[in-house]
Amino acid sequence: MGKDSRLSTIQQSLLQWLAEPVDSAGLHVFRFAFGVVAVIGAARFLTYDWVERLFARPVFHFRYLGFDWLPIPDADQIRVLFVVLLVLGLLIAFGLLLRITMAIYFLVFSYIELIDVTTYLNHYYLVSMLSLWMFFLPIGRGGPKRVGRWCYVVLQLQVTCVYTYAAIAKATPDWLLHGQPMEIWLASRTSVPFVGQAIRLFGLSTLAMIASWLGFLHDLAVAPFLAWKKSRAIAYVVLLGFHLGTHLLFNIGMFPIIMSVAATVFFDPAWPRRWQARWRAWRGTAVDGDAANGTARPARSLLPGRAVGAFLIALGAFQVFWPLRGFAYGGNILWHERGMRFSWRVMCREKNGSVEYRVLRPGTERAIRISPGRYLTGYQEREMATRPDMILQLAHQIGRDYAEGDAMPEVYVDAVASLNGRRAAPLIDPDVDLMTIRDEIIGDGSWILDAPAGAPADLR
Amino acid sequence: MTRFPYGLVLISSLACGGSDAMVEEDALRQQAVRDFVDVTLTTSVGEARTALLGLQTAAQAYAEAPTADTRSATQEAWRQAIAAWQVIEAMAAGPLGAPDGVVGGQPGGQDLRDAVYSWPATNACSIDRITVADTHADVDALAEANVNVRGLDALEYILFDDDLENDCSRRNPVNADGIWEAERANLEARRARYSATIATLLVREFDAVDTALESYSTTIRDTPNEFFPSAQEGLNSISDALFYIDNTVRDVKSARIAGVAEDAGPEGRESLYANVSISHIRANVVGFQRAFNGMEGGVGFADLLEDVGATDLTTRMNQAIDTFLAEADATGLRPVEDVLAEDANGLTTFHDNLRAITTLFKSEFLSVLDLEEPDGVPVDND
Repeated sequence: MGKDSRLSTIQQSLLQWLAEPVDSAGLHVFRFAFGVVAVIGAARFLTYDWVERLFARPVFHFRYLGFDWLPIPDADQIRVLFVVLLVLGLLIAFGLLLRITMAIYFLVFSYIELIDVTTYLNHYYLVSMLSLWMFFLPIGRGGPKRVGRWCYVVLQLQVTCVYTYAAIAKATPDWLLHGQPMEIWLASRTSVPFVGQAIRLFGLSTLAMIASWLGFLHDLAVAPFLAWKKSRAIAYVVLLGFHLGTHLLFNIGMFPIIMSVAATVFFDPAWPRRWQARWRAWRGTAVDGDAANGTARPARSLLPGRAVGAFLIALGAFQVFWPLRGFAYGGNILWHERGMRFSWRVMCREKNGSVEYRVLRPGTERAIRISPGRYLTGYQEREMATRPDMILQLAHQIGRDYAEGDAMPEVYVDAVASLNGRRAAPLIDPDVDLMTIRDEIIGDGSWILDAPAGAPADLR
Repeated sequence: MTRFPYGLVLISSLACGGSDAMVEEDALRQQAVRDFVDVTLTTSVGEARTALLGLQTAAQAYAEAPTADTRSATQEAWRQAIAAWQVIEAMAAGPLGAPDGVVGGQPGGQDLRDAVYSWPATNACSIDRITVADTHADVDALAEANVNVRGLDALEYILFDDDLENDCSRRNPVNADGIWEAERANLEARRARYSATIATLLVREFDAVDTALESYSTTIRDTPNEFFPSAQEGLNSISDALFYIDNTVRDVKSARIAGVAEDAGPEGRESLYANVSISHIRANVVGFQRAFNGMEGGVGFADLLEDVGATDLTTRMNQAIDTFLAEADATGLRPVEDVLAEDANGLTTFHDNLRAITTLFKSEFLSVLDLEEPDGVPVDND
């Protein structure tokens, strides 16, 4: 058999496997849960006054490269958008007008996330991606009872990417050899149930190492073990325990719930019907039998069309390869932060910094100092102080503010950061005029100084 | 530094009703919160109260006999009082801070700070209007006035503004209607009486601070409590207050006198009339130092750092503080103009040494103790 022929056979087998009809019940439950999470998420934003604090209070917004054309709505408009998200969440939960509601949900949610880089969170990005995937899935009310296997596979791929790249992000000497930043986090959370007792039992350093390795191994192995039928149940129990632990330890809001819901896409597609049948049997009511036995359709017809299929493949490839871009920059990603976002580097560092700009106006010899607090809220300043791209972006804004006609000032920065409790070290070259640096993505990034060598903080 | 007997802390905290779930590490952090309130803040407030009582006595003598001597004695008493207060400014946590829910607010905050010292909100023209209207004799009535006419900052203006001119615009009735000129002969006596009323009111305000601190101390004795779900949140609240050294002392006070701020002119400076800006900043850093190291054997942040093994950071922070204090002392704590007259860049090193403290504080210190920056939005994290 020739190489082309073998490839063709593999391709055919793969397509057949992806087109294989499976029960859509699992996806309907997932869709319902996603809708509920969407409602809760929007309600939290509205009730906790985060709109005011995150979007209305700032006078300066950090923009994503290429998206700075997006208009910045005022607080009332953003509140309306969150109300829209809440209503859409309800519609999604009940599967009404699903295609259009998913499209609007994806656009509105992503738009809000693109307003200010400060608000970036991995799980918000995940919500955007899940809503985009779900746009293509035939899982609305009245949809087919059997769908192509690919409908599950795309979501499984997404969840696998999250966990796998979260594990890769933890595969660092700090995390695996020094138990940092876990040690720092545990030391400040002794009031969390069992943490203090566990520290007494194992010692802080040992417990930090245990927790670090458990976290790493969980992220690395949970997706394959969820995919394997024999280990699925225990893997999901472990996953629930893991996310319960992260919920208790860290302020990560909806993330544990989203991941616990998302992981159900690995379940046997018919799992809701089985549970329903058990429930009915327990209640003594009649069982319908396999309600998913609809009219059999030719397998290939369950695959998406060519254009949609190509888009889904491209989206899947993007999810697989885009998080790897950080490695192309070299150095310590946790320090220079290039390629940090949209890469599922979830909760993997403790970093704080201090920033002060120096502005040398045209025709003057003495620099004035500008504190970021003049432009930013406390929350924005905290996020910005350790992220070179945001430091650069604010430098450009300061430069524009102090320009005199066409004459731009020189803008320097004294930025110092501490990574995982290390000695504070300069983050940005204080002798580089940041007005000469276009952006953080392109270029050698030599204006960002190397990460400090040596081990992180060694706490007792 | 004397090593704190952590074991005794644990035993005493458990004996005092600490819950069974509280373990050693949390007990130390809880003790740090308690000691900050019960020892560091309370002791500092007590010192300021003693100084205020001296100020009240001096101001009453000045009001009864407004002479150069009584004025000078009141000015000196004010210097003592403001020096004690500036120590507290740098750690105005708990009831002294802004209420929870407003920018920079914190649980248990009652905004008591502004009633004692409202700079930079001080309104000289309003003070002049009250002076000339002779409506400052009644302590109760003055207590109802805006905070920017009845605190230590208002008192500074009244005691140190030498020229007996007012700070109002020409169109203000005080000038437009000739009221100021008509009362010029009475102004000194009125200012003296006004200063006595303020001093009396300040002592009363400090009684309120004492009461509020006592209540706050009882509330935060154990965690979880009404204000904090954990000792860590209590520590966060204190570190929020300590950020005063960064966002006000460094960014505003020091940057302005060092001439590195855009608005570095004399108008925006603190202590325009008494000319003790450098002393104020020095006292602020002393307040930060007290909170960092703890007082009278109480647990401070330095003890927490040592407990987790970050002794080196403790040493470097104390070195940075000592270096700054030595630099401040080297200026002779003279008026800013005098220092800058000798060397236009004479306060740049002063500012940079202050920045060395805030840099360590905002980077390593926050990281090692896993503390949050103030005004953080309690949004999700990942």
